[in-house]
Amino acid sequence: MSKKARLILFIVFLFLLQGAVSKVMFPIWKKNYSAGNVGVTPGLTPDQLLASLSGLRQFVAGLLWVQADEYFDSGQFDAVLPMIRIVTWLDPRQIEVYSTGAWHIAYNFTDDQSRSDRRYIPLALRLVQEGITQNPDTYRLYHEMGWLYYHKVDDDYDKAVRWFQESVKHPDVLPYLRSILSSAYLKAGRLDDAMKWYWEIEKYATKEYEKTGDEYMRILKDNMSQNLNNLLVRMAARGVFARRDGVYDKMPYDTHNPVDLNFTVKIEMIQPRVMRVTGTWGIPTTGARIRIVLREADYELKWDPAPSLDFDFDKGRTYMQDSLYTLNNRFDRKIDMSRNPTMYPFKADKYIVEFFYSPRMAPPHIQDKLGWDGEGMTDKRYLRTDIRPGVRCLYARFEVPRDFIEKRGNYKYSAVLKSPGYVDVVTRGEEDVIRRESLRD
Amino acid sequence: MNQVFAIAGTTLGEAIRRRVLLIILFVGLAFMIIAPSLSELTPRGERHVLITMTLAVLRITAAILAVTLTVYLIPNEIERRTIYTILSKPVQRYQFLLGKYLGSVAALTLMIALMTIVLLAAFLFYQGARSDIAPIVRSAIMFIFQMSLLAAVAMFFSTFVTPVVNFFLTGFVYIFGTLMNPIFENLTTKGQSTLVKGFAWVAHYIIPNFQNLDVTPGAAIEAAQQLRGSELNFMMYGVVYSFTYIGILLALSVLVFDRREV
Repeated sequence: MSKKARLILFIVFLFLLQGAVSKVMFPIWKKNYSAGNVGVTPGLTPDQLLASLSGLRQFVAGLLWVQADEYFDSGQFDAVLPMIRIVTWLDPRQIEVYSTGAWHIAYNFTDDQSRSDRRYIPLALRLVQEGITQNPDTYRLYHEMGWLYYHKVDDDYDKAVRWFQESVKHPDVLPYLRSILSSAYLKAGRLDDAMKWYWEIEKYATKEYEKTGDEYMRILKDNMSQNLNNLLVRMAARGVFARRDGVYDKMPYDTHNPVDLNFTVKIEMIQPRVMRVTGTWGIPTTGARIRIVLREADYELKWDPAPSLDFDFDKGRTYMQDSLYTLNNRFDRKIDMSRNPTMYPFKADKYIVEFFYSPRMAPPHIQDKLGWDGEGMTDKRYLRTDIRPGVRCLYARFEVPRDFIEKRGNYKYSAVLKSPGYVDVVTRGEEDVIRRESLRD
Repeated sequence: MNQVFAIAGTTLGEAIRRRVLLIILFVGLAFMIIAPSLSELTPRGERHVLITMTLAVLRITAAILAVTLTVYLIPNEIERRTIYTILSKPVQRYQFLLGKYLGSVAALTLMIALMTIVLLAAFLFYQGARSDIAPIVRSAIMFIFQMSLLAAVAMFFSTFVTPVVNFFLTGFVYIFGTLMNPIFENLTTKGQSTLVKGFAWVAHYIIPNFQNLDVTPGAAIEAAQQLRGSELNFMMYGVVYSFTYIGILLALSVLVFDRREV
């Protein structure tokens, strides 16, 4: 065989070898480095496109993220959204963009009274969901999703639990982020699961401390031990064990003789789109907040990821959510929706005003009286058990026409809605003010 | 092999002396020294942006160095007629090519290593984040293999085209090779015609794939944890791939150069 023929054979052999190696490498590349089958051309300027096509995709993504940051700092929030979209197209492994982007979408679109625009939440959930699809092997975005349900949606703790469970399955989850799952279990009413999880973390931290002597693990172990003890005490004090043993009625638990909330409310439009909500109820301590929602009659927001990450969602809908701070058995709040017409366009004819209070959302000192499931509260008009199955909640719903909100037509001179049994709220002056002395005094 | 190493040593020496390369190197170094100090650019995701930015500068500089260094290797020797002196000695043509190539790869390795050291020093000085060292070093190591492959492409073309044509041809192969995987991924999805899929398959297995040697993406930095073992596998396969493909290109260069009259 001639030298040339041998060389050609050698080339053919190497060609087959590189083909085989390439075939093995492609699935690994696809799993770890691919941007997925998404087009990057829409929205990129020619220079950005050229740079991204020249193997500098991540670099362009980084620069766009810097630009997004500048938009954010200068308050141009709307400009940030398409940037987030393009950056995630260019570099779907940039987890920070998904988490910061979702936080931005869910939290930072607010009106001038700092109320978040809840219409954006499905988009935030969708962004994180997409991030999870692109980065399934780390805890980060599962945790972010759980946190959105836990803290921002604050109304679907089963989903928060599900996402936190996924998060803690990943070995890279930070130890101090694990216990949030127990808190979510508690809010979802799964007390035994919460207890078991505290115990699991305590065991893990104890083992790690014995193995490594890491001071942080000692602190984690002690904290979990304390949380576990607190939970056991609370379960005992609130009659959970007694109920399981069938002796609940025989013991003088705080949750007996339920608090009669006797919830009453007055909704008054003091100006077009400016609402004053006053009312009374039976919880005297501070720390309780009643949720108020004003929405179009046929517009109920579902706390699920949006079908697509299309930022041009229907902005003609109105959905306002706020919480009423209560003190001395009453609440009084002015809600101004007149200055943000894009957030509150008021285009529909009928609106629903809802008031909601669940003991699951309450702080521990109120839960001590109401119980986890609301067994320590009652209300002759608005106590409901069908809103959150297994939980006694307060839920009041009133329908008002758009003319009422706009204070026109029949409501031009008086737009007032009083619930049955409404008692006028009288401001009592000094005693209604909480004073906390400064440490410097 | 002595002849090969002697030619490689001379090529390395020449490369270091060339002013154009030094200028490119200094520009790259300057960028890399300045870049990590631009922390006020972005309070959020600052680390990621800085690493990708500086690695991008490193990649561009290394690519320009690789092409500039290699496209003139053979034509210069022919133009200056020094090739006659070399080939009149007991040196085979393949030894000449191999020596030239190894010399340019040694020069490239030296320059990439120098830039990486400066980049790391600048990062540690400005950012103080030691955790950034591993992804930067990993990427830089793979840049050496990537640029060695690019140099082999330029070397192959330099055996039969002029330096200017070679510059553009190599640039085109680099861009296409960098886009190979996403193009292949898109063109082989359901719904594409058999002809398109066939073209994608052929292109995927013929054109040098530079993404097989790229561990720079966010994955190397942000999501390092999720890659775990598979990144090392990818790198090892990448090294095998680069050696194999470089072997093909050098063998082809020898085939062409053997037939060329000088």
